[in-house]
Amino acid sequence: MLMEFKEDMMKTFEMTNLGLMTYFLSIEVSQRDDGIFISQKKDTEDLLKKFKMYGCKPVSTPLVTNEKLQKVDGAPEANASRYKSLVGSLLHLTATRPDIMFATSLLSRFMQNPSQIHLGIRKRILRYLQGTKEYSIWYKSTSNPTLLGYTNSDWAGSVDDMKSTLGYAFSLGSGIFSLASKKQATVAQSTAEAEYVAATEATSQAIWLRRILKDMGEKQSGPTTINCDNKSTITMTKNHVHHSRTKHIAIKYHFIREAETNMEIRLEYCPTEDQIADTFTKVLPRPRFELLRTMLGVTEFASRRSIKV
Amino acid sequence: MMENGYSLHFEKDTCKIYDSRRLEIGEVKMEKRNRSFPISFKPGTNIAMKAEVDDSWLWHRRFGHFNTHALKLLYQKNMMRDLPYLKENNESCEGCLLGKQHRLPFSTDKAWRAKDLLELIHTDVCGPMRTPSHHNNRYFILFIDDFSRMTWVYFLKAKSEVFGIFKKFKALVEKQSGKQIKVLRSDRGKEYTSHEFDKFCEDEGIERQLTVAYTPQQNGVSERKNRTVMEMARSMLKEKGLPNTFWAEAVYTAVYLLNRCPTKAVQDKTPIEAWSGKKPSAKHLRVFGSVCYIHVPDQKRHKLEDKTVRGIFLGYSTQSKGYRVYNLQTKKLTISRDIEVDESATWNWEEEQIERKTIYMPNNQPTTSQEDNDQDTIITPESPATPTSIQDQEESSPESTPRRIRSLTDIYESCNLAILEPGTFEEAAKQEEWVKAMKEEIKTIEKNNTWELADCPKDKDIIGVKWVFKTKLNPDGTIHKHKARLVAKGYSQQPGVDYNETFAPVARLDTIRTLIALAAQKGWSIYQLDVKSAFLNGVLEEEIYIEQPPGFVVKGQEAKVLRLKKALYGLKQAPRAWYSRIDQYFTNHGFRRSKSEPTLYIKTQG
Repeated sequence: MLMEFKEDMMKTFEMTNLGLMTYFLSIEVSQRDDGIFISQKKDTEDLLKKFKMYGCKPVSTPLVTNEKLQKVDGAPEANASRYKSLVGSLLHLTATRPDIMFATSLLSRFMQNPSQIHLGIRKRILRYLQGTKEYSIWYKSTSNPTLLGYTNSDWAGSVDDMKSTLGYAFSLGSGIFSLASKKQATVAQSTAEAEYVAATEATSQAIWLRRILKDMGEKQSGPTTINCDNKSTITMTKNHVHHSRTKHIAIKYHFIREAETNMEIRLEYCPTEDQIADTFTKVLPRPRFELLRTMLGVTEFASRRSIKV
Repeated sequence: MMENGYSLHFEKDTCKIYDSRRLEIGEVKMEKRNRSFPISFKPGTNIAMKAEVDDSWLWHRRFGHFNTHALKLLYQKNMMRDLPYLKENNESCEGCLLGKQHRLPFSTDKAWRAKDLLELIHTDVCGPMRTPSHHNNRYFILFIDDFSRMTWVYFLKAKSEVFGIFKKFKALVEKQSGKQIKVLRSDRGKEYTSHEFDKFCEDEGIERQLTVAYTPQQNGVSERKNRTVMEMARSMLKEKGLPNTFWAEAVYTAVYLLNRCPTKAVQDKTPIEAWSGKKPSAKHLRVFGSVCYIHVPDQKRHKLEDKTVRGIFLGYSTQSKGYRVYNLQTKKLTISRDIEVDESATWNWEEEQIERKTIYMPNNQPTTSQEDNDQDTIITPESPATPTSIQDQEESSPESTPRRIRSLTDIYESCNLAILEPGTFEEAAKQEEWVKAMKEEIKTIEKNNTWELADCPKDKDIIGVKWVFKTKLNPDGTIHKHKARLVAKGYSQQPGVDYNETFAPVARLDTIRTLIALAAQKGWSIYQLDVKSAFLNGVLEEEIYIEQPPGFVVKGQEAKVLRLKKALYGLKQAPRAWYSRIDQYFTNHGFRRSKSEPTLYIKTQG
């Protein structure tokens, strides 16, 4: 059937047959028997060259812990157009680099009026990339692919407006393929509320992914598990009580309760240590960052077999 | 270009290019359009060169990579016998760079100078070295006579030996010169300020000059000499790849050579001449660290044994008239008079065999000949759109052997060069390669049945078209192909009048990654097909008229316009037209479009 289709299509359009996919939308794909590795090494190198950071001294994490960024920090202004250009390039790289997702989304908050401090952070990310050019996502084949989600949120992480940052990640057992790091639209009054909002966003994504997978012939039998490290949030979704602390939460965020009743998702508790989505919501110290990075499925091609997930 | 010794002279609207010898190599006219100076590079005609073997380079190495300017001085001022004419040479030598790269200097002011031998002695200890020498020494101490700049070096295992060595040194120099040490200048190292040292100097009537703590600048002569010695030693070691354990030998030889090299501080004399009054000879100098063959004396061998053993040349003996050599068989240092040095050979310490490096061929006055063509010069392609052509060698002047080869993109980037692409049809029409590219584009469009001739409609706007030219480069910077594309001036289209919907869905990266992840889990293979000039396949719903493309107007029908049947790049509705076309194709062939992702089409067996 495949050959037939190919031939017919070649007849209708003027086409080139590229065979097995190796290079698609600047993503380098290497298909192996035991899985697929996707990377953007060339783009990373081009980016480093473009910003004249090629061959710089590498660092092991993209961000410094305990450094809070804010819009107006008193430092002199920086060249905004170059800054924007870099953020764009980094966003492009996040296609295969979930480990810089949070750093990139953090930088993109200051595109309006970047200062020299933001520029310094930008440099650090480039130095991190220099050291981890070879890193990318490795999708290992496992016997039983089931959709698995993680959701997390920090609380009032943004200094400027006290909004929280949510993060979620989905995998089919190894290597995450759908992720987000996003500042929430409303101010959360408690950590539970922040996590609740995050869980709702993750739920919408989960439902969409379930549909896509179903279309691809991979129907999910049971509800999709989403791991959350906040017990009050889990209770809030299961127990429809009108609590004095939750009465103000916008109706759209209660969507998760419906999804839970319809058996589309199931929110489950997981200890913070296993919370992959932590990388998308806060700056982490190096050992934890590196551990979570391997849990995301981000690795060097050569050492891909060391991934256990 | 200027960095490479060319000079550019801008005048009115031309730019003249001169090479380093002030010979004009070309003239470039300014392009009116973008005020640039286009230069075309002709593939350098393959020129073979014969270079004279220039002795100054060899002597530079024999003198332990001493600077060529000073070596020239040595010859000119006749400070040494048996020296050939040496030229100054600014070529960089790898040995020198490895050993002597330095930071920029601090400023200095004139200091007091001694008027006689031994009036002032500078001294400093250098070390500890990481690797002990063959005799387990880790430090060396330098004594420098301020008047003659004669230097003595001693090696130590520990700093405590300094005092004993100073006594030895004092006895030696005072006996030799018949004069007495008057002043000793050193830093405040504990080895110099020990009680017994102080006492000794007091008894001998030697004035002490100690630097202020942590101000080595005040001990400038010693510190500078330290550096000169270490630089020379390092250069000599690195060039021949000797193990670091030979550092003491290298330092010893460096001091030996420096005593025979001119310094600024002594006018027209080498230090050794200023010290002893005798002019030194250069006849016996050889390149440090070279492989040499040591003659085995008759007494030590049978008739049929080898007459020679291999060794490493390690310098000159002061006690006897002979060379210090390291015997590779016995692994011992010996002194021998009868050696043959192969100055171009290097001993490979890992594989224990001789390696032969080609001698640097400096490019001072080579003679060129056009005879054979097997010379590797950098081939520069002829770039397009270049009205004047000069033969310019950016990287390789015809007189030089290329040392390394850089890609053209690198060179373009570093020289602010850009490839000129024609901006308008009129410009492109003058050049053959662009005309060819345009013909190709028209051919594909016509093959695709994109348009038909029609009369000019009254109530419709005519959309203009223009050519866009682009030079595609290979990864190494050479020209891959010239591409011409006909585009419609879509910006003149008005919403509602000329087009309705322009939106076309694009695949989400999430979906693509989902597919890849799923494929990995299931062990599927992903295949990729690519539609050439996809937008040209889109079928248009609206009636759109365009001008006839410049250069391809049908003769006799100049007033007519073209009615588009298929989309053209630049049209507002081109993406949407393509989407509906491919959507239609897929649905006709049994594919089902996913409801949650409009760019995902699925076909299941049967």
